[in-house]
Amino acid sequence: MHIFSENFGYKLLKTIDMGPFFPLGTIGEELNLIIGFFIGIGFGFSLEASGFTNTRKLAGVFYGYDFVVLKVFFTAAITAAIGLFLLNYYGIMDINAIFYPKTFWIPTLIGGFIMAFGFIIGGFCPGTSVCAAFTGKIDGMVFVGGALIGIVGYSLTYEQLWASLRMSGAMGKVNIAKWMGISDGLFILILTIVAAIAFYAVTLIQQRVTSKKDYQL
Amino acid sequence: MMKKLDILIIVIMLVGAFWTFALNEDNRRPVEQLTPCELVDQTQKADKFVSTDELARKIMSNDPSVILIDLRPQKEFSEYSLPGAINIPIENLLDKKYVDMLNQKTYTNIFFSNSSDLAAKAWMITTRLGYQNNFILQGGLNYWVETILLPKKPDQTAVNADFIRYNFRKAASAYFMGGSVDVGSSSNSSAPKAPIKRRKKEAAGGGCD
Repeated sequence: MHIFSENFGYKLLKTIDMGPFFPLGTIGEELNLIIGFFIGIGFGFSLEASGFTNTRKLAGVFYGYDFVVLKVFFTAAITAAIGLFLLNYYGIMDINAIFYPKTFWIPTLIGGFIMAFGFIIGGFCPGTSVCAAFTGKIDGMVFVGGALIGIVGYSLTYEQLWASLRMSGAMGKVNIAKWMGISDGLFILILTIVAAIAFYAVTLIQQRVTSKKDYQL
Repeated sequence: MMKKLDILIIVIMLVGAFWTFALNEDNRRPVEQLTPCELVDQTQKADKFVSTDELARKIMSNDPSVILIDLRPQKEFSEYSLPGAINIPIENLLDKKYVDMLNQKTYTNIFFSNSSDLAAKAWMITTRLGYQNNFILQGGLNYWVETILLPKKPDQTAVNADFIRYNFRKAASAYFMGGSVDVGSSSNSSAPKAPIKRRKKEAAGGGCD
């Protein structure tokens, strides 16, 4: 007999922690979707405002003349990591109630390569391609169309071709810090130092590339 | 040279990173106040149970310090419960509005459901959170009905104590069922008024230190 509902553990934490709102049942699914909708608009607006719908800006990371993308992603990841850590530590939000997917390292690695090639060739990541398409860029629309064809093709052939690959290299629900056996705080510190070094290094690379005579956008 | 904005961002991130690094995650207040060892000690103590007879005495003497908590679903609670009981379905046990009731030092909370199962769970959860003064009704409502509402007459050969208890239960049954009943020989009639002896709380004597 199941005495406790499935989210009983979350309710237990509810006496201590305040968030996250949706997994703990503080807000319903409808409100969750509405909030997500507005955050999505803000995200798209930011991508457009910072020029990420321009393929040259994104491809610049790989050619060495513009590293804004790298800086933005590093900053976003570290800001989120520090924010989550502190919210969890001070009992405002329970980090265990946050969803993150299980890790399958083999398909993740392959998918990462495919994504990188798509990034270099097309000049978009999935998010920016949608923004570009809706700001009227034809290459963005083509990119979105290609992504949709890929999604449908993958879904239709999943059982026959991809199921075993998808499930290979299972590592369970891990985060890097636990996997390396260090504390979350130490990992964030290391990541931040790596980011600082990367920021400095890419500045040097960018200066060298853009100072060449034959450089052109 | 790096842009000033880049340097500012890095400095802010480094401050945050050192902040997280300086905090020791082990210091975070755990949900459970008791360690597993302390919980085992608490579990081994017998005084977490309240017998049905003891409870009947408490109710009949209008003991104001007792709060009866019915852990069954609302529907079952509305069909039948103990007199004066309040309903906290076990799923809602940890709702914020009940914290003050469960985590206090004045009243005696007695958990019950049909059997002792839910009560034992509720006791375990609240004890683990460090709440005190929570008890389990031994045997639950089923045992309550069996012993208090419909007591069985002991055999003729039974010891005198059994008859005293039986007479008390008959009286209690009449009290709770609302009927009139012959309480039995007058020599035993003072039994129901016997004062309740509270067991002294022993210090946890575990071997975990």
